[in-house]
Amino acid sequence: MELTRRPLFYWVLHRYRGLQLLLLAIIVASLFFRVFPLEMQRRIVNIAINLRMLDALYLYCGLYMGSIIIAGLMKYGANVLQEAIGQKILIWMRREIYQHLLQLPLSFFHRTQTGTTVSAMGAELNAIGSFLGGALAIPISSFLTFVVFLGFMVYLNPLLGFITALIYPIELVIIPLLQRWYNRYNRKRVAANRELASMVNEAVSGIQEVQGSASFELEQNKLDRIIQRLYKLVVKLAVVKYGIKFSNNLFQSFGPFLLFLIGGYLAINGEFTLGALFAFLSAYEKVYDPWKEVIEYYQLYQDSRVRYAQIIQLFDVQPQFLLSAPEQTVRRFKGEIEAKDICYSVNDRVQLLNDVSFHLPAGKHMALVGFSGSGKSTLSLLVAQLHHPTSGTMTIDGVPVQELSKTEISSNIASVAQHPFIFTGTVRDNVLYSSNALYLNDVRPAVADSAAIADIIKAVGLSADVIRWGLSSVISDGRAESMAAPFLAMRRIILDKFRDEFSVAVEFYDTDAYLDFSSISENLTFGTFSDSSSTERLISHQHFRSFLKDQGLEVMLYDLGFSIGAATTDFLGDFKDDEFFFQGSPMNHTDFDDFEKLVEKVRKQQFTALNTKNRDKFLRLALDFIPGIHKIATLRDDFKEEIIASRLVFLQDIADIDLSLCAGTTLQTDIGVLNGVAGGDEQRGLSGYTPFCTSRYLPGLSLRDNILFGNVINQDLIWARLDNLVLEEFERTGLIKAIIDIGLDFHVGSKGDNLSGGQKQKIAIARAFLKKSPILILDEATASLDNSSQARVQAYIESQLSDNTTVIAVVHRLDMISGYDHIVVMKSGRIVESGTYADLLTQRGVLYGLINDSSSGD
Amino acid sequence: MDSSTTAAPGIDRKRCRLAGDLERLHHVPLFKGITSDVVRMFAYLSERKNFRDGDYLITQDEQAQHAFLLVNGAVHISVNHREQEVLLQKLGDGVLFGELALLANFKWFFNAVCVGDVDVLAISRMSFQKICEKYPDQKDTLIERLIQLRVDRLVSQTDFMLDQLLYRDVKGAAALI
Repeated sequence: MELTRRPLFYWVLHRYRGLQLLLLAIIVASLFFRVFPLEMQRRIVNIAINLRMLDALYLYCGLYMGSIIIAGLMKYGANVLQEAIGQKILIWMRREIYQHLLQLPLSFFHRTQTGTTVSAMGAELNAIGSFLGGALAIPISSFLTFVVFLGFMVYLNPLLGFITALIYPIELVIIPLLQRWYNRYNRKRVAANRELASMVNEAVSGIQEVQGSASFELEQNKLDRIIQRLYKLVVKLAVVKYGIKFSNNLFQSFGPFLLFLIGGYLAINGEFTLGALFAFLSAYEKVYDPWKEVIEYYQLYQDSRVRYAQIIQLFDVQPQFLLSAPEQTVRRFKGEIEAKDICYSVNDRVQLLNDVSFHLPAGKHMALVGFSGSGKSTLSLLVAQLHHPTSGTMTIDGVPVQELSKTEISSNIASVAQHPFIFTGTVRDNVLYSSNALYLNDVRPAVADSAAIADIIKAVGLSADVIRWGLSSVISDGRAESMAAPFLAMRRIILDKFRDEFSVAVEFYDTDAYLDFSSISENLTFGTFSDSSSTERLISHQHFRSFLKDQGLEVMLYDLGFSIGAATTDFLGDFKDDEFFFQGSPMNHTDFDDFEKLVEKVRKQQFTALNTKNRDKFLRLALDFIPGIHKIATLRDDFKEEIIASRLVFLQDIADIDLSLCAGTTLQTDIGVLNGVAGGDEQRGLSGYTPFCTSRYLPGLSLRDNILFGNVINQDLIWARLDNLVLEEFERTGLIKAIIDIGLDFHVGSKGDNLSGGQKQKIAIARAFLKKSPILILDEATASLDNSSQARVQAYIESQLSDNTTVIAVVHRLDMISGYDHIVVMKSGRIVESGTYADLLTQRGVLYGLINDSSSGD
Repeated sequence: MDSSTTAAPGIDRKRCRLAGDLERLHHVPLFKGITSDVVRMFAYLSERKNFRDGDYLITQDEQAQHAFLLVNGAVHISVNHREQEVLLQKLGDGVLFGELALLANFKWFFNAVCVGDVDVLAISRMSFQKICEKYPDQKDTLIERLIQLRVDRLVSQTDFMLDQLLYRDVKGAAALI
């Protein structure tokens, strides 16, 4: 059944019937255990107490409690099951709606606010979920419970039973009436909530405009209006909701009143036993439970119905294409494209394309050029079925494009948009996005291997970036084990041959040099901690603290920490709210106020007035101090020398490191040896510590930093220095594939935030190339690339795709089109000229004019 | 290096880098007459960088992020044109260049290539904007100075090129690097 025609109960009735039946069975079975205690109650009073039979009392009480526990457990199970069923149905529902959503025509997304779609898919569907689970079981079981308890009451006393039964029909009239009001307000509330979501979403998306025109007041007013309306609605809702509650309570108390009056009268006259009256009262209370459940169910049902109707209404647009082919097999076309008298207009007014016809044989390349707004992009989108012609036909291998399923379109056409979309995920996810989709649709075998990806990455000029991403990665210890050797070899090469060349960009980890771009704690320990900040670990480390004392460093560091703290609080007082200004100090901006107080205290009294915890705060500042970065203070040379002297003591006495082995030229690539040192440190709590030994791989650092073996002090220079060297060396050792493989796992950030415009474009082009479809559509695909990348991509198209791929390219740079087989020049929605490049130039027509204009303007 | 370490801990007050950079910035025309607090903030947020002969301080087509104060050494400003790198200007000690990067986010339209060893102070656009936020009354003066600087540079570069055209054989006009 068509998704948007499905009523709410369609979802309940068409799946998980077995589970729902089980739920019903549990509830029905529990009925017995709920009525049974009432009968026990009657017997306890009438038989056990009245006849003073202790044995019977014990027996009845035992049975009473036993059945209550069983009923409780069954209810417990039923609740869990109900929730589970509800979620299962919800998952199914959400999948189907999402599937539907993704296939909707582009126009739907243009007119619908993202926030509305998101909240409909999310929160509002969730609210329906809790209803769905018990949609069938609750009304049925409530009805049964109601009948059973009422039957029990009639069995106890027919007259009283019937009187009780009479009260309910009155409620049946009043409650639904109130409920209708409730529904009406609720509908309005849902709509207002959506409006609110859309409005906030709009303001956030257009925040630049809002801030630029300082329209805060204006936006605030919009919000106020909706909030006011929402407030009134919610108050009205509360009035009705609690009105329903009130009438319920009234009816609930009305029953006992009648019971006591009539039941009491009957009991006094000896026509009714006391035990029966007890049981009757209990039953009356119990009979109310299912009644309440029905009312709650009814409310929830109405609520869900309203939500559901609004969600479905939102998505009530039909996809314009078939998802999969009517035939089982997906056709693969040769790629012959023909357009006949194509017209395309928006809203029946704006004529974007007018009588466009062309014929492109399979494997030929066509360039669409012309003035901006001439309809080039629109024409290319018509081929890809993203728009539909108002009249005329577009065919691929003679088959009208409209008749193709989406699967066929996607397996035959690859396209690159001018501003391609990059998905959150890795580079690999993104370049394989289209290929993976074809794989999942059973159109293609499994996805291209790393070598194929690497080839395409190279073709679009992304290799250097991917290699940089790979080298910037910190790889797992396991992977490092197999890869460490060549990296250490590279390190050796740089240290031995290129030391001077790199020294302007790298501060090497030299045992006897002070590291200006490392913290003091790293300077002392001369190593890294793979898991956490070294200072945090060291400050609570017994051996390290006594080492500081023994070296006479503790007091010096306290003093240094205090000087840094005082300088920072003096200097940044007016800037304490902005983290940005704290880049020149080891102090965290959130600790500013605390330090300000401590500094003041020390100035009034003295440092020793601080307790240990506060002193350590200053020690932490000193240990985190990086002289090369933190401009707030400058270290004295003699202090640096003392640190270096203490470093040697630390390495030998605390870390147990054989310095000659550490700095040795023989590579200790064996990870076992690596762990040997770390293992020795375990009892001292230095796990994860790796010393800066030239012979060791440093697990916490990126591959690049492992090669460089030092702090990078000039980011701008490092890649230029490294690129050629690394490529040469790793190409030789065959490691380049592994690095590209790692680089492909680089995370591009949310929607590709970590990428430049050119990188995004290259990834999109790689994505299209990897698809290897017979037709390729490029919509100014290389516009944001630099010249050499543009030329590289063009060269690939001309050399690798000629004759096997039909290419339609919207091109803005006229110096790129000479390689195309066929040129189409467009102006205001019409083709004004077409032919080969050479022909058009000799004709000295529009193209000739365009080319001469653009080159003289260059 | 004196032995009275008891009073002053590890801090070097004589050769404080912040004071040194502040001194340098004070001599830059951009900051003439600007409140000392503001200049000190620029000194605090600026970054010292070293380059070698032939290194590209600025690469054409890359995103502009910093302006540079040439502390030591010389820089050649050049432009890639028709597959060639054409020299536009030679800059020496104490010059501030790349100043437009402080105002807007764009791609560099020229190269700056180091001649010999070069030391610079790099000032990021972010720093400039943050400081302007904190001292709004100085913002207009700073921006006006930056534009004036740009105008001066344009004039001198045009002069340089015109001189090349006028006084030399036109074919070998621009000095190719």
